Amino acid sequence: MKALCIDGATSRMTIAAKNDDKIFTSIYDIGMKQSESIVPAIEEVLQKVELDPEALDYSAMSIGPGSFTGLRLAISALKAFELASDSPVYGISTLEMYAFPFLKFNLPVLSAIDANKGRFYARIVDGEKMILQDGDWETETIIQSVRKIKSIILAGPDCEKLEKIIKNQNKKINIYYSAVQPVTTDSLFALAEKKITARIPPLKDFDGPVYLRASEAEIKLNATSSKA
Amino acid sequence: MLTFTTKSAEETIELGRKIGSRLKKGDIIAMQGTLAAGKTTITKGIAQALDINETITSPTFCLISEYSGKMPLYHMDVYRLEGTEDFINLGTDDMLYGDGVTVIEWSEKIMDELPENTIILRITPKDDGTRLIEIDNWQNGPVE
Repeated sequence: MKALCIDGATSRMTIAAKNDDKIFTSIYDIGMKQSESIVPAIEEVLQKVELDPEALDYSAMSIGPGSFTGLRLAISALKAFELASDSPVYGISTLEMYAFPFLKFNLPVLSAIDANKGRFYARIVDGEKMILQDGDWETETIIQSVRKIKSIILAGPDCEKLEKIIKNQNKKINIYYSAVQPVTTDSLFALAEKKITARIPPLKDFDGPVYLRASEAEIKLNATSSKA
Repeated sequence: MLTFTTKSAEETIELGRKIGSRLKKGDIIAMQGTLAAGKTTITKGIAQALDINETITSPTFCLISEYSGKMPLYHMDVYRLEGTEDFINLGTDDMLYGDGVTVIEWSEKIMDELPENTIILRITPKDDGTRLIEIDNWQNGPVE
């Protein structure tokens, strides 16, 4: 298939184009400077695989949670391609994208992004079973969710921090994670094509990033009820 | 708490320079003070310490100004925001937990959204024209 994928969920933006067997991927670990690079980066990856934007079968992106600015940049760019060339845009949960490379190890996978203030955006899956659905969770919720698990794989950019937090409370659990991050756009291509095969519809015109951030009111309410 | 008194705009800028020289990536300064207290003036000194050559102006209208130096300076003014939801919807998390220093004017409105280690800098103009500058939650060594 012919496709364009953007992962703008962190300050490390990844952009890739695919023209059947040819894939070209660029990684821009440039923090807040992504807006200056996204358009030339798209042009470059398309040129490298000799792909005309008109020929795109689809595009895909990490839809969230993640960087406020990065996700907005990605969706703006891909919606523009959709308008110009009718190529549908598929939104993939960032946490699903992180978990994908590790699903074949037959262990539960906890994918997470540090949401700061003692919270993580996280999901836990064990094969087909969802143990903790995508959410903005307190670390305590995550610790409780893995308390009966003997071995788990961590995925995402904040594994090291999360490992320390879990180990601090649960010394018996075996935790595994990759010291280097897999290429996220490879997962986006694979997951988008699974959606296409399963006839899951692409993003609608009015769909936007899914930030998952709990409102300050929710956080305070939870803090008050847990103290009570 | 650290307490300083400055007698002129130049002295306020100089104090900003000393504060700026001790700042590190991820530091956030929540500024508090009345109109014309000197919040932007002290930020000019902080910017100088970060090797920023651009002119620092009040971000009251643009809300956030970003400057490049030895590390980025995100200079925000939240005076015109309604509250914390507006602040979140500006995408400020990317900056607060990013790779630079953040200075927030009129931070009283959004304190709930800031991390616990936020440095609080209060400026109070006195009748004789001097400024009383108080710094809370400072963990970056001596300001001298």
